[in-house]
Amino acid sequence: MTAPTFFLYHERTMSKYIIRRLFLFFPTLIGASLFIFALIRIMPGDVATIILAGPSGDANFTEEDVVMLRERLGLDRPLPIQYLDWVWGLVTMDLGNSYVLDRPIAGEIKRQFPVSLELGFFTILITWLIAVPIGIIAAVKQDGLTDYILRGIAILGLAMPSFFVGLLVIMGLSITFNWIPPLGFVHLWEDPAVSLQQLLFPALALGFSVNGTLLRMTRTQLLETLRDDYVRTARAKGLSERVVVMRHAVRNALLPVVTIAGAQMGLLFSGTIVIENIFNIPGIGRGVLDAAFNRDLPMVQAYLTYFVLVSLSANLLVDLTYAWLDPRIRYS
Amino acid sequence: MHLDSIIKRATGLVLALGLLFVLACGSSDEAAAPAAKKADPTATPTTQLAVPEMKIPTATSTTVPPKPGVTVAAKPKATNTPVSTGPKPIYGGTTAIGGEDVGGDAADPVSGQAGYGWSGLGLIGNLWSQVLRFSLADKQTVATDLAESWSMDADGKTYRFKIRTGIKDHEGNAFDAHDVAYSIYRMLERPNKLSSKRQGCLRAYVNPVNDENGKQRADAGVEAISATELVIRLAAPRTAFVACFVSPWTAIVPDTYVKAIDDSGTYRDLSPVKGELIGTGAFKALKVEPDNLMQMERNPNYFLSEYPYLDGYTIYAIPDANTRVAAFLSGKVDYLGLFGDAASPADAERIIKQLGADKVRTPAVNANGWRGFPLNVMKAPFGPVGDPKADDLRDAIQWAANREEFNKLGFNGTGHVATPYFIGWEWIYTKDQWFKEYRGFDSSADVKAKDLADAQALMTKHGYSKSNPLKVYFVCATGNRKDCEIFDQQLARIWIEADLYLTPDYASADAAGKSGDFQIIQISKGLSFQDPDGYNVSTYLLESDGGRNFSGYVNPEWKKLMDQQLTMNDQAERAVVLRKMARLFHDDANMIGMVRPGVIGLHRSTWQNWTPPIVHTDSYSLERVWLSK
Repeated sequence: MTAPTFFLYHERTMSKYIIRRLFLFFPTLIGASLFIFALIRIMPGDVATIILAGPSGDANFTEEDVVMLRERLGLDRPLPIQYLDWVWGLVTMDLGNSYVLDRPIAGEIKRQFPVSLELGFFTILITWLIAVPIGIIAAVKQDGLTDYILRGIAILGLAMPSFFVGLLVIMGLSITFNWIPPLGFVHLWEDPAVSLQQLLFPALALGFSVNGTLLRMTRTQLLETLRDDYVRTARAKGLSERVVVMRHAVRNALLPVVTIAGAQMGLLFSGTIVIENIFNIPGIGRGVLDAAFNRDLPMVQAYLTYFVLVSLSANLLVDLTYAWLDPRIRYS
Repeated sequence: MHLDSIIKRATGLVLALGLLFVLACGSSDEAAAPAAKKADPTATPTTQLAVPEMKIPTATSTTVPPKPGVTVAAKPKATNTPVSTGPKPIYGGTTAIGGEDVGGDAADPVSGQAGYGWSGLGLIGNLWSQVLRFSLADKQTVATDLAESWSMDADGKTYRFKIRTGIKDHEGNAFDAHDVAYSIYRMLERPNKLSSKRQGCLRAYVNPVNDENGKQRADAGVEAISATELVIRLAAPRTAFVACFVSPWTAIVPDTYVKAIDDSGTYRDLSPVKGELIGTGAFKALKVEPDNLMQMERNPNYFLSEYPYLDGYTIYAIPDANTRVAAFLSGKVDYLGLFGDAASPADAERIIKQLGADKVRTPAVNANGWRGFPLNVMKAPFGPVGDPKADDLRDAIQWAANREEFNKLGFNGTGHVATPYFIGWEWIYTKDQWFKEYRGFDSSADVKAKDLADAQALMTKHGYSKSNPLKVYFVCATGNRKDCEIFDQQLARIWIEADLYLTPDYASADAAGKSGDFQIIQISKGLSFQDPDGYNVSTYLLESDGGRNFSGYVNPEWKKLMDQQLTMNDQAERAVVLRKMARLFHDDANMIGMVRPGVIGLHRSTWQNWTPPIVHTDSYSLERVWLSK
């Protein structure tokens, strides 16, 4: 087989794989949208009544008020029409208005998304910067004191939920140093120094549990790889241990770690719900919690769809990356 | 060395340096937005307070409208008394406040959302003015604001206000009586009928503006006679009208945006992100970022030239209670807002322990609400009124209810025991008189033990016991679940077994035929003065009259007295009638009043050498907090 033919074949199999994955992507998205729509509708209590009753439930209103509000919110239309209208809104990015904020939902998500993305990106960066090197060290120093300590930290990370770590961090900072990160969120491009101060601690808290998984995964995979024949061959060639580990073993060992990291992106976004609240980050997670507390159903619906979309996209991206890295996947 | 190796090492070095830089930045104390100027560390502590400190303001005769024909004019200058005894206070500067949110989401004073919150009002209420307001001097009596003077006609139903001239809104536009009239019209008759419940008392007292055909009535509730003259017409004389009208909920907005919104037929709330939050108040909004911050700056055109003392302030949204405390401890905020933003007594103690009692003040303030349990006296087992068994059962509950325990468990002990009316109404009875005259309210151990024993005896008399409890149906709004559970435990002591039905709203429960033998009621009607007239509308009158009396029972004698006191402008004479009403209210025992909640507000006491005065939430405003001249 000549080289151009090989690449052509490579591209074709990759394209087929992408199409196959996209065929799975959209039906899953539609199924999830139906599920979310139904879930919101079967929740107890009439939305119009809930809004009119107020948070304490004791506000006075008449049946006429309920009818008017239901009409205004479009709740008087048949469910299939409401669903199609909502799906069309998703496609055109017109998600309607929040019941509570009286502002376009799309605008809210547009405002919050970059904030959560910055936090997510920073968390992933920190996670990789910390977990992978430590995982490698733990593997190289297998069963030594360093390994035990690092594994202990990893287990601690797995055992402690991110919100608890967040609380410990914020309280520890204020009690020990009389300091917390600056208030009033600013984007990275507006003021990098302040933004980094604001993002570092939530990212560390959020990344702590993710770190645990990644660290252990890196260690396990590297230990397995270090026992492979080609590593033995490399050592036999007289290469230094550093070169053997870093150049030969780590590259191959990290392949499954990529998959795990991708799968954990969904977890990362769910973690932001609490972490963003603790660290005053006005992102998607904060919006979700507010919407849920305020019983702002269209907002909750939009956020759920957003989470599904993010998770599906992350999985798709990971699968494609993995297929690109490991040809066995796309041939299967 | 290979090029890729050099690149990798260089990248690693940059990332490591970046991380170190970030960690180093961690020690910086700079905030993203303008932070408060810090207190002089050498400042002498001014006051040391125990937690919680309580001040219950007493309503005074100043709640009385002027005698017919008498015009009350604005005082030329506020005469506040300095609170600080320490070093000379520094005027100006900016300060930072931590709140659960920035209050901008439902910032419109006539927000369509029923839950337009107190903390939002306290923090952003400085954007707006009122026609009448609380006195800046004593924080309890009525003072003029947008009005220069005001008077009441002889019929007791017509109030006339002379609006100041030369007022400009935050955008520099002229503001006059027509703006005021439109604001009040919006409170009374917002076309989409989604007015905030906070102005409920106003709607209960003031005539509608339009007739059924949408034409202005001859006796319209509000009318701007000219640019400086405003008339408000009541359906009947109501002493509590003034109490309602000075409430901060009746904030007046310029008609620039609201009129355009209403004319377009959308009837939406004023939008904070569209720059529509303008007013005539002491501060104007400089920056509004939902879920993040709201920055205010001094209004240079404010019509009260001596106010405000601050150059500006920033409200930071800090949704998590622990983080708010951390922000306070670290000095990132100088004040924690009230209600959802308030600190718990445990947090307040922790803060005092860490910062020192001289560095922080923790005033406990009354919340403007009430918790009570209305009983269905129209049917067995708690009715009808006059049936000996039903009367005994209601008495047993009245005596067995332990208000102080409810206060401690439900409100961390910061609430106040609620009598048929509020305990703060010492112009009706003193606290001791309330306890002496009305059985069940005194929660001291020996008294309550006897009350409980007698209540049990009443239950035994009717055949109830631990093994044979009275089974009743208790409807509880989900938001009050904790309160309901505490009361449930108290009922169990007199062998009443309540089947608790949780509902998000009472309308759904009513519709499902589940109104219950009793419910919980949580009242907060935006009435600032502690006037029973306003609260009775909620607790004893029918829903059609603006109350939530789910059983429909009204004592006819009480109603007669209620109508009688509406026309009485002398508080001493009125108090006599109110005492009779309180007696009837208590003896009917159709409403078990429990507690008036309280909250703790935290101040950094030495901020710019000022010790903040203890304020009642009714009069909370940054014009006055900290910097009372």
